[in-house]
Amino acid sequence: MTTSAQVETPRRRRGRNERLATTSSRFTRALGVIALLMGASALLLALVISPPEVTQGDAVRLFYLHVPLAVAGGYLGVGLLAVGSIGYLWKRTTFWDLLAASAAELALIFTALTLLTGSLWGRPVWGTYWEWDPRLTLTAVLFVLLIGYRAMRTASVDPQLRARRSAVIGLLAAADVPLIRMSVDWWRGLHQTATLNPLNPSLDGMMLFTFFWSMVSFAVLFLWLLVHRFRVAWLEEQLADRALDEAIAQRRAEAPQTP
Amino acid sequence: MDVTPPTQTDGVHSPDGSPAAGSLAPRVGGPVRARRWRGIVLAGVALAALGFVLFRGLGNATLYFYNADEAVAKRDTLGEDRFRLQGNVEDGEVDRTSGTARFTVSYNGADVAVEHHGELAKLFAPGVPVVLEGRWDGEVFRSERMLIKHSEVYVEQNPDRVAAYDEGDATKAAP
Amino acid sequence: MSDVGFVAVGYGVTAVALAGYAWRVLARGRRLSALVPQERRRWM
Repeated sequence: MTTSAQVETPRRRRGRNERLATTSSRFTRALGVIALLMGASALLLALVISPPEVTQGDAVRLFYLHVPLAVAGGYLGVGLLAVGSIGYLWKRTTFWDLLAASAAELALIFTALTLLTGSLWGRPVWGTYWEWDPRLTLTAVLFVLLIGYRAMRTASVDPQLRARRSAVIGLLAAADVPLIRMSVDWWRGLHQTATLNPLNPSLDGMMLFTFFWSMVSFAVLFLWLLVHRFRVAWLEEQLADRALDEAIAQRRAEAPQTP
Repeated sequence: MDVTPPTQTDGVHSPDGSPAAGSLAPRVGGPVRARRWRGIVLAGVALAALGFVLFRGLGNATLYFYNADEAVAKRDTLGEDRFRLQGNVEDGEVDRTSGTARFTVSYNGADVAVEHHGELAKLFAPGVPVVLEGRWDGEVFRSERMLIKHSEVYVEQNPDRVAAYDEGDATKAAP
Repeated sequence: MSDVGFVAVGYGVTAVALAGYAWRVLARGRRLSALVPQERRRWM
């Protein structure tokens, strides 16, 4: 019977499609396992193994969370946002636009968590949740710019226009990161200066190792999230293309049948 | 093969259905427009927030605090103005009577007598750099708010190290 | 709140936020992957 065969084939194909329907690949699975193992060991180091600090006591444990979040969000996230934005303005291809958009979303989440953990660390150590210190202010500016980036992407309908506008806002956000980096040296504020000086680390042995391990763990987690987020953006793009193709086909069918 | 055009109303085209022949412009309907407005509102909120952050931040960012020696030098110009003063809490007695703490901060050779009304920061101790918010009252700095200016140096609480410091051999304690 | 309290809230909120975000991205990826033909997602 031809009808059952016609029904059978698409169903079987769809079943196979669904079984493999995921943004995972062998690479992301490996990266995910590494991120999980490193994350668990970093937690153990940060919360249990590493010692309390002489003046801060246990509050120093927020250091191993706050700084890696800031570095992953600011350097990796906004860095790749800048790469994607420049790439798009240069090559004008979807790949660069989607890379920028994915990196920007992760940068937004990591920056939000940086502000939150910084606030929770500031209360016991400085005596305040928030202070309009240069570095804190510039980080709040970055956070707001990343929200603006997202808002602009939601508001723009035309893909080319959206990509061009996002690239400009993305570069604006990227310009803020060196300012955040230098703010503690250029202006007076409450925020401490860079702890991570390669020539002269101002951290004791176990603390230094915990800090380093946590930084690498967050970087791996960031990359794992980024690959998945990029693939989701890619899928959305494919579906948008297909929806446009269908709309065109439908409109053609609706048009008067005059050759 | 049935090629009868489907009759639909999509809110943009008239119900009798006369879309421009061959027009390939994407249909802009309700959901897209709602999404667009949500984005524009969000962008407006972000812009307002950016303005607020810059306004609040830049007011302070140019000069977040005066060091103790600068505050002493500028005592006449500062007058009754509120400002932040930074200095190290001096060794010596911290007199804590009825919600007032009296102590001395110093920076770059200048000493300032402080009368602090209000919460003492948790890490407040002799030798710790503090940022105090308040104003001059004659020779005394009256502050209502205290923040700790923590350094970027972290030292482990470690029995060996404490022993090393006790023996007065701090340099050997470094790993 | 004690120091340990601030540490617990900081790590707790971060863990929940990142795990929740990762879950949402993976779920969205699975849902959208099923709609896109395999030859247009070649990372498999």
